Amino acid sequence: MKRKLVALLCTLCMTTSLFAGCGSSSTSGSETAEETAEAEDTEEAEEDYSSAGVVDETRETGVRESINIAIEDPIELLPFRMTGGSEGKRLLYQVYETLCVLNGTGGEMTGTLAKDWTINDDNTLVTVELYDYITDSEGNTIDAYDVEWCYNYAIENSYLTNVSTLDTIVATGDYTVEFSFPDGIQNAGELEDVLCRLFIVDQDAFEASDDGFVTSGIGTGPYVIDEFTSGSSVRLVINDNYWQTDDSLKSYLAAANVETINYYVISDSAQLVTAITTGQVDLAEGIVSTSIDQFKTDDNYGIYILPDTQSTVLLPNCDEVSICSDENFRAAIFYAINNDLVVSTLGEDAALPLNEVMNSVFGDYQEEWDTEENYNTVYDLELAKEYLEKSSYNGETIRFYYMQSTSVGTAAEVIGMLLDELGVSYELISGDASTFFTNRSDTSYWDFIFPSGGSNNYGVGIWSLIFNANNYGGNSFNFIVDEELQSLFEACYSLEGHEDVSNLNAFHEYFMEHYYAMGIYQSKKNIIYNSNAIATIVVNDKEYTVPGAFTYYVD
Amino acid sequence: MRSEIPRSAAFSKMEVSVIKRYVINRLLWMIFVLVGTTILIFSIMYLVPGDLADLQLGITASAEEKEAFRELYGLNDPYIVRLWNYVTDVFLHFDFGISFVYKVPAMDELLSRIPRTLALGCACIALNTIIGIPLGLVAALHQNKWQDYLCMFVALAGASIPEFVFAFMCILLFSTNLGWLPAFGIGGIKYYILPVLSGSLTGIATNSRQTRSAMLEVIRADYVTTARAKGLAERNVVVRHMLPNALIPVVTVLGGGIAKSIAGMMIIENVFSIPGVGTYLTRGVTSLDFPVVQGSVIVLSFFSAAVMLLVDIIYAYIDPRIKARYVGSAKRKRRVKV
Repeated sequence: MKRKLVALLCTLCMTTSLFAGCGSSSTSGSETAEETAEAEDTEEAEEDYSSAGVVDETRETGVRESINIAIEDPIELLPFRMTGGSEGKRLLYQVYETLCVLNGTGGEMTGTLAKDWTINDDNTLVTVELYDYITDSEGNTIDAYDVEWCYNYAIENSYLTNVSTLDTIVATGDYTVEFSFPDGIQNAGELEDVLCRLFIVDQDAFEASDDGFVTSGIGTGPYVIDEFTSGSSVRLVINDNYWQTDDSLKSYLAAANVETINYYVISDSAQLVTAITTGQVDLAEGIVSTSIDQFKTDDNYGIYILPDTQSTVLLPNCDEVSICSDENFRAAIFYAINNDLVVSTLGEDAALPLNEVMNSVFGDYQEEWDTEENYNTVYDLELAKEYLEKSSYNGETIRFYYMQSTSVGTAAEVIGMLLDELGVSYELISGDASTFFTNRSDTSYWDFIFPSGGSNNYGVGIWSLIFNANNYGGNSFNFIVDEELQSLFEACYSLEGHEDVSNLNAFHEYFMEHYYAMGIYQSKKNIIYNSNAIATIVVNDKEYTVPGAFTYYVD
Repeated sequence: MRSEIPRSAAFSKMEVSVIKRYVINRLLWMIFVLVGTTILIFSIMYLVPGDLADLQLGITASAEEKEAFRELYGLNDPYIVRLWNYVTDVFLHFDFGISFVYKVPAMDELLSRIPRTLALGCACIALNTIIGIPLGLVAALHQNKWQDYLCMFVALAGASIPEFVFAFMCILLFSTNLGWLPAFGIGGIKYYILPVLSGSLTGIATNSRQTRSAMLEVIRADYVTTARAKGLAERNVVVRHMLPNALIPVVTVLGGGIAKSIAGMMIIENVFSIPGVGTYLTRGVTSLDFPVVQGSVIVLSFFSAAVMLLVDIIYAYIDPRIKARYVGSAKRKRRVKV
């Protein structure tokens, strides 16, 4: 009897402990909107980059001694491998510099190491002139030969991708480099991908390094890597020998308003909350949206919630083996999906509903698309049922395939419930990163796929990820073979065509008419910071925080 | 009826030489085990679906770029060529290859992480032993009394509560509320207190239950009654007569725990952001980082085999009957040869 009582007591304790970890205060939609609006209202657009926060005029600002920031594990610090590398590597934007930078997502391109650049008439040659006084933190001179070597090394080792139209990079003088594009710079964002995405280092310093700058490095940026413990921490200290002494020529990334930046790797999202509430870090990004509420009412913290550059979209398998090759069936599914419901399930601090596959962070997004009436903006179950009746659907089980993640999994389940209302049988299949893209190319594996994707420079980059047949050997990501679609895409993706809004609208209308894709939601990023130490925060064009450019309180 | 383990002196000269031969024999067999493990893990990783070039370069990389990547890392070579190259690199050059993700030799990264995981694991084992065995002893010696119920309640709670739940409870209490201890990272001893506390909970529960069970088997043995009848103090009866006989199964469990602690700390490492072997292996698996996965599995196999050998030697030290069996079989082999 006693043993039974003890066992029962233990069971109760265990059950109680399970529930004790659950539950959080519900997010008030209006409160969230207010906070988000407050963050947006207080954004100060300094030049062309994004910032948030308001300086308290009663307090003294200046160069702070140190700041602690939580990051994802950067894994390695190789300067050439940013695409495909960990998000934690964003700290390298403080250590190394590119030829040019973008002021904000899709913003104007300005020179950092590049003093000037010219493009010839047929867009086949870009000549970049460097400043003739660039040195790295060890005093090594950076010249055109270093630039030539960096690009060739990165391309040979597959660190720099999406530059297949770039043929040669040649130093034609000590401080001039020529980039040759035999077929011409064809697409929007192509020049930015070449000039803004590769860090430049001194070749001799790199080759003399023990490990090829993987765990340490010498850059031209405002900070120097002082210490790196793999999987644990990185410390940056001010580069006292920063080469650009003319303040009017410095990029916003070159600011150094704190002497030491300590980055701590925190792999668990719950630990981020602990770390910032205990003061072990002063800034944390990507806290689970349901945990943000506690910071909203606490004056010791500032919150910056900004829309991510990534869109999560739903793509039908347009290959003939799938039921989704039937346009009426695609229309039925799309009209049965309520974006707003998906977003409200995820939480308004976590996502925004999309009205198009592209998202509004990018400068080429057209605001009129928000007010159009189509399947992306209108939820109409009755219309969906009409389309379903017209389609060739005979009760098959539709397979939805998505990459494992909490938010996408939740969204997929909500969509599944909506399909239940439509009367469509479905199966949710999740895959991990290592097999997702391999299975994507199997036409018989899925009927709908639920990927997330972004772009470096322009919203058409997201269209390119989905629709550009040149990326996938003749058909799109979701097996569309449509010459008209490709032709319209190339018209709006080309360098000149991108400037013409009618090309963007034409493509938008065409793929919407054929129900080729549906935008579901755009994630939001959140940045929680210690507002007693940090007055304003700054993010670059990739929405990475730039701690050196923050405004700090020093009293 | 269980007989007492005869007390005898530490290893004699002959016994030492027999044990030496036994150890060398086991070490030689370990090479075959490691070669087999290498071939097995290489083959498994070879057969795992997924295109490494897609994963590393992204889907928008061109076909030429992906092909260049595959050529660079020898991914287009036939299975047998890749296997031969890998096995010769591992056993002749101690080279596990360069990690696709970390860009440093897998061996170097493992060597830097193993001490952290070992320190964490050994500290957990030490705490398991220091708390678990006495807990089981107390429970066994006071069977069916409140001490027994309390100890077993603690053990049951420890076995029931998942490690990560206990870890977060500790963080909430000691770090968030009291501010006594850091919640993540590595540094001084204070950074390891919460991870060790969290990681040893299950082990304490297991060891205490195992010790109690083993002690209850010996507690009513005739030799224990005889020892008490001889007028020995209870402490002497427990320590010199009961405990050595009860330790064999406990040593087995502890040995398994040591081997597990090197490979199985990934939950604790993830929660507390400790860059150890567990997190290294986890990332390697999700990134299809062949050198990391293969290297980690080989290293873990080596440790497991070494720990099992150590456990066997400890058996011989604790239980002279096992030692005598080794000596006896060696003598029989010599007689047969002659």
